Amino acid sequence: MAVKIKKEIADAVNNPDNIKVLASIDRHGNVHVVAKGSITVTEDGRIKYWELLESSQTNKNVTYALWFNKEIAINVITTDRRSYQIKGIPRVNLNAGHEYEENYIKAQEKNENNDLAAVYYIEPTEIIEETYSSRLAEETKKHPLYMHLDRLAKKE
Amino acid sequence: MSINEKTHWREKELSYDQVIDKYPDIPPILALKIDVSRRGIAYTDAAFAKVDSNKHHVEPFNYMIGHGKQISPIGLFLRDGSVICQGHQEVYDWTYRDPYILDVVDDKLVIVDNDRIFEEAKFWEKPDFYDKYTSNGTPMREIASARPQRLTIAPATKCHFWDVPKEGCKYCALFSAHRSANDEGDIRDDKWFSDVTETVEEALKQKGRYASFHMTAGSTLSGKEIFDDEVDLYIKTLKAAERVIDAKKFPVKLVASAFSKKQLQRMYEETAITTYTTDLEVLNKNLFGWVCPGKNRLVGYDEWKHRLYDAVEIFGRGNVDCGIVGGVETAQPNGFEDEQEALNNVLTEAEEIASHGVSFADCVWNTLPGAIFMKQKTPSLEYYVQLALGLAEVRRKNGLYIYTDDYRRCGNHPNTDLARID
Repeated sequence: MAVKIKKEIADAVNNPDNIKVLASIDRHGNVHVVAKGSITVTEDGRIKYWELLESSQTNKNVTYALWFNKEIAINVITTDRRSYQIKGIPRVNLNAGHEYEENYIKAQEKNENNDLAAVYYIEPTEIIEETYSSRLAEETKKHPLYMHLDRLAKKE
Repeated sequence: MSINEKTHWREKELSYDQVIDKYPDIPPILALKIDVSRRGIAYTDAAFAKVDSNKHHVEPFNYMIGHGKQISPIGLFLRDGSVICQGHQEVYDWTYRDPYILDVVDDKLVIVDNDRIFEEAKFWEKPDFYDKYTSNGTPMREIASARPQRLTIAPATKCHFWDVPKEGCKYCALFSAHRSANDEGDIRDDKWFSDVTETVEEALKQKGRYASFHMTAGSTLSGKEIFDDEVDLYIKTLKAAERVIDAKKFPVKLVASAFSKKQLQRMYEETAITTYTTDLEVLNKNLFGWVCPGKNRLVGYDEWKHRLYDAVEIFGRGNVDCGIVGGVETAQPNGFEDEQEALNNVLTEAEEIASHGVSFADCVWNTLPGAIFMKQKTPSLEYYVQLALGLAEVRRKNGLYIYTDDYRRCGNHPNTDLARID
């Protein structure tokens, strides 16, 4: 079931100064994670990214996820240290047609040595706030007993 | 009366859902592609109404098969980036299984069976060069065709294995418009080769459209040695294309007759060719003699295999493919009656051939008008799924890649689609 990505998070993903990584698994369950600068959120709320390398492990894994309705995960880290995880199921591999060709031309404008294996569209299924300060507050509230006692020792 | 009410075929084999459950390694969308390829797909009026010949790849005269009652795009796109290489299929009084239906729901093209929507589909887009003309006044669409990511030229439109009546391959409907004895196929003169150069140059202006250059043709038997004239024709055609490409080697897929080592060496040294495919069609020596009598008489099964192995010495492991017509080994009365026995036979032979560095490109056998086998019954979906999975495993076990026969540069082989996740 698709979830809506809030504007604040979509803006974080679409900011080219922020770092984005994509994690996936292969058909044997082995994990793989890479930086993917091309990840964006589209106007209709899907995740989009360019797969530049045909033989990349990510390309194989995302195809596998598309085929078997498996999730992949994306993490975006902003310059002001906010962090969001977005899980999603790849739904479309676009590798031909005029829409693909427009993306191919843009990929080559960024770097003339680029080829473009596919444009992937991913349906987001879960969004998790991973910013440390938010997570720490949440952890403290939900699990107050998860701590070391020395932190409670009386200070002289 | 529906076809199923006549033949009860749905009660005699596992359904799509049963096959997906039984073989969890097959992607459901690939199983659908196999099943549509096997049963065909018939367009509703609503689907035909969606065809826009300004946008979609429509060939009024199908240059390879040469007939067709209703004009439809020649292929469909699926959302995983794979393709189905079929247009609208007519239903005949001998048709054994109901075809899938291409319909329109919520303004989208959808693939339907028994009122269930399986997947959305899109028509292939027309190449930008299609409505253009060469300086000789030739429509470029008569020089080249295309799939979504490949440019195709057929240097010869006559297969001379049909020169002796009924010696052509029994499953084949390709170039069936040129089978009569007096028909030599389309003329290939200097004007044609010049048209090839101009068409390729124009095609390459469409950025991102073509990932490979493909040539295939009917077999030409003439020459000092058998196939010498066919080799000459392919070399001339490739050289015509090479005039506008700035590379010594580029992705070229050649699907041709079983050339000798000397002929292959010449092709490799004189042209940009990078991979080579020659089709054994059916992986059984006895059945090869029945299904492909002309190939058997003039070359023979063992020699055809031997030439595949010679090709590996020139092109390298994984750059030589063998096409097969998956399922034709069950054709009657001489083929296997038991599907499991057929499968074991095919995969055992495939393993032997793959150990020599040859990959496989498996086509789903569909009975087409124009083929001697047009009234045969093809195997079950379960058979084709097992075949695709089995051939994929043979490829993996032998450490072979698949390049120009893959999902993108060809798109007609379920087993090579599976290479996407290797």
